[in-house]
Amino acid sequence: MAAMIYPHDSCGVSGATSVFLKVDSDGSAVLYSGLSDVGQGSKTALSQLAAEILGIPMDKITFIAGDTHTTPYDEGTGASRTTFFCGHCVKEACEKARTQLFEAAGRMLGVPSPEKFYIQDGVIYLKTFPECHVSVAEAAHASERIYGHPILASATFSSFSTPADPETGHALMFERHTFGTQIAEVDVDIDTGEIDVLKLAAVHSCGTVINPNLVEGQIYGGVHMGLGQALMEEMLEREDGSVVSNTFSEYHILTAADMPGVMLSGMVERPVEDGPFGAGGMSEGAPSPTAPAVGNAVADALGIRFTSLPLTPERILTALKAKQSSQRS
Amino acid sequence: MLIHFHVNGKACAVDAAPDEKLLDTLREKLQITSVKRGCENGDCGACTVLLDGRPVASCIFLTVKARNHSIQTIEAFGEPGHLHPLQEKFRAHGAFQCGFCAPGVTLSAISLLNQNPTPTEEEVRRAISGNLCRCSGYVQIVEAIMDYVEERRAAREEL
Ligand code: FES
Ligand code: FES
Repeated sequence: MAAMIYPHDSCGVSGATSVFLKVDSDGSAVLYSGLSDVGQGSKTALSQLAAEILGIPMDKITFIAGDTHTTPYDEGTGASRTTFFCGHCVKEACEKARTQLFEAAGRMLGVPSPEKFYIQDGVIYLKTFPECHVSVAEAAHASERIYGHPILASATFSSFSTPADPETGHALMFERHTFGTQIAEVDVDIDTGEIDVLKLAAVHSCGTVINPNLVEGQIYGGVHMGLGQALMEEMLEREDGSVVSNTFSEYHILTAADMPGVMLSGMVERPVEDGPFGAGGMSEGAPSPTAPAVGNAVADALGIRFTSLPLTPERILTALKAKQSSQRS
Repeated sequence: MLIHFHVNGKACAVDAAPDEKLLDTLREKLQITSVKRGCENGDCGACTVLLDGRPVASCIFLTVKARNHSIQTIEAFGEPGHLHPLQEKFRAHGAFQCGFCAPGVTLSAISLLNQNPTPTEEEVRRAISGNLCRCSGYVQIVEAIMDYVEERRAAREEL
């Protein structure tokens, strides 16, 4: 078993993220963000957030990401920061745009108090008298064409931390963390040195979960990387620095057949402060405790503590032999 | 050399050099870019195509050897808007992330299911073990395939 704590964003920098948003007169919205979605599903999760706040369906939202020519500054997609930072900005920008929509609706309906409205399924209703309503498209249209106020919003969120003091090693950290614990059950073949990870359970707390399917995918993919580190992935170099393991014939990653027979995941929804609706990031946290959990399980099985990875059959057999000969002498 | 073969059911003739790889012919001459260029070493499976129904790594397969054979890429089974039911399962389970491995995994799985419509989970894992995936840990991929297998089994039993 092993547990981990992982910070959102890195230490010693002020990681800023910003987002632009416009709502068009057909009731659709476009978000511009510097995040990079390489398959983890950030655009999906953050479009869900926007749909929730703007009260419009997901298919009315276009998410333009990753093009630094058209999108505002983002420190980068890394350090589990996208859902947390971009999500925070998306939420704030959508709330600002929603207020503008309520203001337009208020002018159309003669109720000049934005707080008296709510939004649902593309329609803006007066709380006390829902029969009184206009669509998001109508409000956006009136706002830009009649009142001269196109619906536009932006938001920025930055972390705060200081570089480590060279004397004391102390730093002011950005204290927004994710947590995780993993348990591995292993079988070690003492004749061949091979390790079979029979079961692996990974439970992570990444705040409020926006999209469980995506979070599970992040956990499983992360565990796959962690198991690779634990068991087989190794960059071997020659003296001159050239790489020996430069193809997948030498640099092994786990295939579908190598994955644990039983693979469980779980999520603990403990809200993260400043996260959008309490959501946090789910990335590096997943692979982090995997190799330690496997290493602890192997130590439990063999009574040997390994301090280098991966735990290849060769390393296991060498350690077993050393243990036997030290017991004999 | 003029090589005749079938690609996704259509007769094709391409002028191929003797050392030309099928991957290059498909991507560069026939513009079928769903066949991914990964390791080009026969290790990753991103370039998988079906040759007479069996998966081969097109990056280490000579085009001349495909003469008079039938090649299938993922387009033979599903297109945007008309997905193969297995692709629908992948979507429902959120099986893929970056998707680079997806065409190869899907073809390997389809080939297995054509030979054995009721594989065990272990057989599924073995069948797709030539397709490396860096993102998913294969968990939701395998779940989706097994879900498809179970649904088909139930449908057959109802008949
Ligand atoms: S590109 Fe053919 S196996 Fe990797
Ligand atoms: S989904 Fe990215 S490699 Fe498989």
